[in-house]
Order: sequence, then C-alpha cells, then structure tokens
Amino acid sequence: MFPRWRFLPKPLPSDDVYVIGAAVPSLLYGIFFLLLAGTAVSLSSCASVMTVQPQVGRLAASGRYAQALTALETRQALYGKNNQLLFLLEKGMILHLNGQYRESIAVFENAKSLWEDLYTESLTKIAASWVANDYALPYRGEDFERVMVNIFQALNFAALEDYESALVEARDVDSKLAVINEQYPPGQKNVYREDAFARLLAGILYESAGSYGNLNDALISYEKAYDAYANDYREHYGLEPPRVLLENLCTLARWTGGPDEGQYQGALSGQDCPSLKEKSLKAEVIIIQYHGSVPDKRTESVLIPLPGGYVSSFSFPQYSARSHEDGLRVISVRDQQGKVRHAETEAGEEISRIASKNLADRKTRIMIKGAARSAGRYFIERHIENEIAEKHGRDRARWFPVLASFLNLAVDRADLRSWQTLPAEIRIARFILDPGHYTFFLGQDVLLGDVAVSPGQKRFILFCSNF
Amino acid sequence: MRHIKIFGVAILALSLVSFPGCASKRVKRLNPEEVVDLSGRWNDSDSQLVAKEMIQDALFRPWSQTFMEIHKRLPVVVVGPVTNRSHEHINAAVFIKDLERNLLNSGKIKFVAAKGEERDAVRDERSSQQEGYTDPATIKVFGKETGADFIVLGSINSVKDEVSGRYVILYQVNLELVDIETNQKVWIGQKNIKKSVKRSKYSL
Repeated sequence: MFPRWRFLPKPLPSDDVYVIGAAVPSLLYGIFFLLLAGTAVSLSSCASVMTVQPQVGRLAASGRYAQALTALETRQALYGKNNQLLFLLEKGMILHLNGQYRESIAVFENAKSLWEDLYTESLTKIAASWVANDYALPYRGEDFERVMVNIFQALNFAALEDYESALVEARDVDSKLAVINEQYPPGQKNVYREDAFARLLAGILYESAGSYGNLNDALISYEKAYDAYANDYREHYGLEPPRVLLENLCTLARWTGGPDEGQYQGALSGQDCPSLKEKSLKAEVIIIQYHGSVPDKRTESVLIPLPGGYVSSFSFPQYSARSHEDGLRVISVRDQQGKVRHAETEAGEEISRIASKNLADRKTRIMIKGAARSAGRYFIERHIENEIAEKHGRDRARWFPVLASFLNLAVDRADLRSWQTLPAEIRIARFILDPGHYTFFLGQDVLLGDVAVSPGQKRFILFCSNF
Repeated sequence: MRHIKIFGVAILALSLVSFPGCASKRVKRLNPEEVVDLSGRWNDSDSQLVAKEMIQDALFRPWSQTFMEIHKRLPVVVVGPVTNRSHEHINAAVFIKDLERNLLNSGKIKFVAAKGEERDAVRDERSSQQEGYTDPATIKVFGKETGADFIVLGSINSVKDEVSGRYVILYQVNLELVDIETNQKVWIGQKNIKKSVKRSKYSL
C-alpha cells in the first residue's frame, strides 16, 4: 500500500477528489507534458548517436581508421552523457585496429573505469526508462562486451610485447566471468558463461611469460578453453576447438605427464604435437585476424490498438547481419631463403553469433518491459482523460486519445545502441618457426609484416580483413 | 485513483531530482602522506606504506650487520625488477622509487643505478663527458662503476574474490634480497594489504 501523503488535506465529503486534488489533474498534465518533453530530448539524443554510429562503423569497416576517428571525435558531444561508454569503446577499437596500441590502451582503461561507475544505477533514470524508453538509461554494454575489452586490451599489450601487462588482462577475465555467472540464478538463461577465446589467449600469454608457475596457469586456461569450445561454443555458435589449442594442450599435458595427452592427440587426428623442449628452441608467431563487422541492430515494432481509441506500440531491437565475404584465410610465411609455408586461420571467437544469441536471451525481458511500459502509459492516460471529462465535459476530452496515441508512438523506441566497430569474428593461426627473419602475407601477396624471432620468443601479428 | 496521483507525484519528484545541478570543479590540496581510497585499487598510499614497512623490516634483520663485519663497508644494493602478477595495472616504477628512497634514506646501505633507463642515462652522460667539451680535470673515467653486492627482486600478487557489487582483494607484496655473487637469499619480506570494496546498486 502507498503511504498516505501527509500534506494532503482531508477529502471533501461530497467528492472523491481532494482539495489539493483540484490541482492534481494539472499535475498529471504536467507529468504528461514532462513526458512529452522527455520524449523530445530522448528522440534528439537517440537521433544523435544513431547518426554518428553507423557512419563511424562504415568508415572503420572499410579500413579508413583516421577518418573514422575524426568523425567520432568531432562529434563526441552528440553521444551525450548516457553514451560515453559507447564512445570510449568505439574509440579504443578504432585505435587498436589502426595499430595505435598505446593510445588504445589508455582509452580502454577509461572505458573499464567508467564501466565500474555504471554499476550504480540511477533510480531517476530507471523511472524515466519505464515512462519513455531505454535511451533514458546510460549504455552499460553487454556481458560479452566487458570481456571483449580485456581481449583487445591483452592483444594491445601483446602487440607491444608487454606480456606482464597482457597477463593482468587475462586475470581480469577470470574475475569478470565469475561475476557474470554469479549474477544469473541457477536455471536462468545465460548462454555466455565462458569465453573460450579469452581463455585460449590467456593460455598463450601465460606460456609467453615462461616460468613453471605460468605454464601451470597456461594449462588450466587451455583446459577451460577446451571445455568451453567442446560444450557451449559447439552447441550455440557451431565452433570447434582450434588446432593451436589442441596442440598446446597436448604439449602441456605431456609436460605434466597427465592422462589427457592421448585425448588431445586424438583430436589432432593422431598427429604428434611438439614437446615443451622442442618449442623452447623455436619461436612462435601467432596470427590474429579480425574479419567482418558485428551485425547492426534494427527496430521491430508491434502496433497495439487499445480500447477508447488509443493506439500504442512497443519496439524491440533485432540484429540484422551485415554481409561480408568469407575472404582470405590463408597466411603465407617466407623465410630468408625464399622457402614458403602456409597455414589457415581458424575461427576462435564468433562475436556476431555471441551478440545475436545474447540479445535473443534477453528478448523476453525486453518485450515484457515494453509491454508493461505501454500498459502503464495507457492506464495513466485513461485516468487523465476521465479527469478532463469530469472537469470539462466529454466533448473537451475527445482530443485526448489522439494526442496520447501520437505521444505513445513517438516515445516508443527500441534501444539500438551497440558496440559497432567490433569484428564479426576473430580468427587465429600459429606458426612454429626456427629463429630467424620472416615475411608474412595474407594469401600470396598481401604483406602483413616482417618479423625477426629468437628461440623461445612469441610474437603476435594482428590484422583486419573486412575490406 | 489516489495511488495514481501519488505515483505521478513521485515520478515528478524523481524527474526534478534528476536535473543536473550546477556542476563545478573543486580542487583541494592533499598531504601526500594522507590515505585517500577512491576506487579500492592499488594506489600511492599502498605503495608508500608497503615500501616503508618492508624496508624497515629488511634493515632490522642481521644480513647488513653480518656483511659489514665481514667486508668492513656498507653493502651496495641495486633494485631489480618488481613483477606485477596482480589483477590490475600497477605502475611498478612508483613502488620501486618508494623502495629506493626508503633504502637510501636509512643510511645503512649504498645504492647503484638500476639496469635499464637509469643506468643508461648515467652512461650516456659519462660518454658525453669524453667528447672534448668537459674540463679534463672533472671528466669521469670509464670502468669505475660500483658493482652491487645484493639485488632486490620482487612481485606484487593479488587474490580477488568478487560477487556482483562487492569484492575483497588481497595484495601480497614479496621482496627478496639476493647475494649477487652466491645467489643466496639473505632476506625475504612479505606484506599483505586486504581491502573490501562495496558499491551501491542504486542511487537517485
């Protein structure tokens, strides 16, 4: 029950409306027009972000990173206070794709900090989101996007050969995944429970650090990655454990003398894997390929005719896949003698499928909120209409459902915000090479870079192939 | 009907509260010794506290006395790498400087510049003195660097236990003093800092 408001005077015996209640219809009008104003603000806000984001996304997807960065930075104000996280995520990613790893690290660190602040939700904004739409709330990102920041941050550090800092990100992933799982009660849908690629990357980074303790951590990370690929990733995203994972698991299982070596060797179709000692005399070059762009969100709306001449609607976001060709996947490496070897990159992370599945999991909750929001608005509108009719007569209340319906349709917006510069997939390949100098190509002739490697060294080559 | 009105008033009140206040920047000077915890992450206070307490412990132990009795001089120490094995990016340089300051200010040891940037800068300066611009009487010659007797090695580790909105983190700093000639560890120090951080789920 609502507590009785102590400032309200006694009701008049002849009327159900309080003396102050005479002002209440105008108060409700006030709220109603506040809602109207809120709608206008909300519409201008979403229009701003929705204008900038696709443009930035298109520029980044076509490899014009400098232009994408300029478009983003010159319009930072249009993102507004509620979308600062989105701004930082897009900026950090563009800098990463452009090879500005140090700058990207600084921006992603700001994004992580802001994410922590966003844990505290504003009750005012929640209330506003129930009256208007979800643009009233700050963009908090998806669970998987929080882990993606760690992945790209770890790769930023790995590209700079700062493996100690890259491992900080690997440890943070562990902590984040534990929290993600903890916030869903048993039985509630939560497909994204583990990030197999993040675990695989953590394993490679632990191995890069070298000590025995780190090798143990590497084995644990690889085992978690294998479990995730063999269960969740196979079932929900159709991904199999990449060859590099099976080889590394086989190597470390042999090192520990555990019983699993045969299992991983079997998964490698009986092929042998190198021993840890053999690997320590060679160098490894890990190729990370970003391909495609994550799908766009578009609006799906349901129009609801309501009694009394009212019309309402509720909208929800749906992903619409952006088309991209499969593209080149073969990496060639040429040594100084001109001898060429090839390897094909394998899918390690299907970000577009994770995003789609994640949204599908939340769809019921989004639709329930949308329906409740429409019902609540209708409920209030009917009461205001009745009050207008009581005070001023039925004829003067006739215009109200038309205005209310117009407002209902205008205020209803699906939240289309998402991190749009993410690649559709992350692919991985690995070369084990003798120490020396090598030139890497995508296919036969697209130069990826020259790399000199020494025994035991691990190097990362990152590139994007969506254009 | 009454409930609807009160609900309306509540929404209006919340909306009014949500109007941004007059935002202004305030700057307040702090004593560098003052402990200010904002995020719960490793900060300058942790660095100062750990460095001070660990070095006090190190100097109180018998290794330096033993060394002086044998060699009749103060031990020479160099600070080696301090590895970050924690969950967050820690600027080890701040901690290393705090260590060096506390060691040097004790007056019980001598210090040499650490390998890397610091030592390279000194060597560059010495090289530039040989280029003919410096008064010959003041030129420092090559081959006179003092070799350290001991090296300080360290690591910062963390264990984090987190649930939604709350976490407890334990920082464990390990420092070891190793005899460079014999590889013998003459002192091992450990300092723990435990923090509990709780965040509110809701605010107005």
